[in-house]
Amino acid sequence: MASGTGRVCHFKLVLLGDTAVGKSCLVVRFVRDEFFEFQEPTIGAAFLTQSVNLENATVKFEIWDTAGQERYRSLAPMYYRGAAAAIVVYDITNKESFNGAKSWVKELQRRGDPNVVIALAGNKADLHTKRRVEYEEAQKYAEENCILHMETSAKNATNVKDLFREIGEVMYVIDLNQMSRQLGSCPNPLLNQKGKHFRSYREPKNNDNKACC
Amino acid sequence: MVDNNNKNNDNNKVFDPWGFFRLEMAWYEIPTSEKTLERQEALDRKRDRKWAAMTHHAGGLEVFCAKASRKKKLKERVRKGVPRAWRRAIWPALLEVSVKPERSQARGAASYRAEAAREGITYAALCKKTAGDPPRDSVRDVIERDLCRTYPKHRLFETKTESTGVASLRRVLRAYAEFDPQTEYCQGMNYVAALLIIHVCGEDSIDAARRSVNDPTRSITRMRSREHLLTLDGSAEEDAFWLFVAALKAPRTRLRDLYGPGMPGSREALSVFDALLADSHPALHAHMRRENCFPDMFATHWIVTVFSAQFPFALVARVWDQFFLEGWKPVYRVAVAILAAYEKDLRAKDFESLMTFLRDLPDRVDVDRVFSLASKLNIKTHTIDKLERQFKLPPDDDDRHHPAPR
Repeated sequence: MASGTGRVCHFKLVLLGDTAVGKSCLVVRFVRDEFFEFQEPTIGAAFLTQSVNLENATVKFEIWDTAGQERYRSLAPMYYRGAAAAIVVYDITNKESFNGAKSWVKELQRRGDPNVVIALAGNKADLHTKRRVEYEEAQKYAEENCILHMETSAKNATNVKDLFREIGEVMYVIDLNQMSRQLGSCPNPLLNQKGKHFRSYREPKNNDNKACC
Repeated sequence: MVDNNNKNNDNNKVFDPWGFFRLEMAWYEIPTSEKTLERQEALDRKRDRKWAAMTHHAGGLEVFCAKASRKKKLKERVRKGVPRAWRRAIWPALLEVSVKPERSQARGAASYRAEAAREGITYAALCKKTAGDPPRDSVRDVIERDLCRTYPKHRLFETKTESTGVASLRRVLRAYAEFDPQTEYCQGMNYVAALLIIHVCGEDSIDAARRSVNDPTRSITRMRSREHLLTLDGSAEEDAFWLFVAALKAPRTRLRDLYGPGMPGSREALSVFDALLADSHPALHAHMRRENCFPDMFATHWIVTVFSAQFPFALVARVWDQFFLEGWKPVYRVAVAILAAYEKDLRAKDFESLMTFLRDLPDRVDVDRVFSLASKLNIKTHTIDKLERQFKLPPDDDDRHHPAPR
């Protein structure tokens, strides 16, 4: 097993999405490798940390798991503000939650950190017989918005580690890239390779809207 | 892969004295909150007679409290903790005792029930109206998703087969959403409703009442009969519902303010808590500030559920005793005391360890120590009033700095 050597990067990551889509379950699976069928609803937010070992670095996530109910939405900005990455979760058996996820993506693009890396997670993939959101539909949406997309199952652990690892790799590359840019050298070619999957920067939609800070 | 199927594994399943299941464990592994509880039960037996005497008269607590000195006595006894057997009878009664009439007028479950009845609203009618499968993405659908996730480890709410507690909780929350369409349902209310259901309708509580020498159940009937409009054949669940309504709407507890759209009351309460902490423990407060650790990051569930979401019931029940009699002051006092109890630990921690420590704190909080510290805290009602008046909702994009990656 290659253990993370070299640099340790810290990133703030936030989980957003409608109520009962499995945000807390994904985090608990990732951090403690546990699963609770009746995970109690998150009131406010919960803070957890976990690291992912990459080939030549360790990425440490500081994770904010948020409450999903619409009512709590006004509290969300304090958690996604300054977040370097966000996982927007929907439930593949619940069409409405996919619409909810889209509005979260929109909100992040509008009000989140301009460089935030967004990943879309279609959770409860184990319940594929009750599927209401097709993989292709979500994939198409993700591609249009240059965000990472994966279907996950916190219950049987499918793709949970992979999702975080993928985000970790992207974050690491961005981090390297920013460093090298600061040092005046060329952007890391890896960035382009990964670039098609994720949104590494925000193209201003309306150039006349406002100047970037 | 760990699953929570130990719930089905009956061999080593035991219930703690509050009806929460846990695995069998050695005595030294049993959480301190549970040990506190055993001691508490011995105390309760001793206090039983005092509570019987207080509610002995027709008219119950109100007659007892006619004299100011006795009101003080009641407050002292409530702060020590209402005996478990008496909570069903006493909680509704406490809301009706006017401790400080000039501040928060007393209004209890019976009054809300009577008012609704005058408008032709009954619990039975509300339940009937909201029965049936919830439409997709209605508020009832949101409630439905939370039913099985509320106290899933409690005997009343075990979820493999639909338990009585879950059915009661569904009816109570749906009925409330119908009764108060402005508030409808906000996550957090599920814990409050379940807490009241456990204490008012839970078999454990009824058993405890029966075991009590002085029969608190009889006292309920006696206290109830004062209210002319009150039907005496109402079920325990109905009692729980109207107590829930009272807890949300009464001027003393006004939980409803916390739950409305935008949750302004919750943000106000968190800011009051923050200011009170700064006042009483400036060094601790300053340290947490420096580390960018704010109350809304760890104490939202403390406030929104009045501790009922994650804390041991040994603490929760005693906070609620005081909440019903005195309103928010004791809640703030306990919130500050919880941090004060661990001041030394907290001041040695950086952001990440602070957050982790505070996240895991409810499981291992030292209940006795918290209440003993809380009783020594000097928090004034007028300070709270002032802080509440001063509170302004922050503008949408307040630029308070939150920890960025280091």
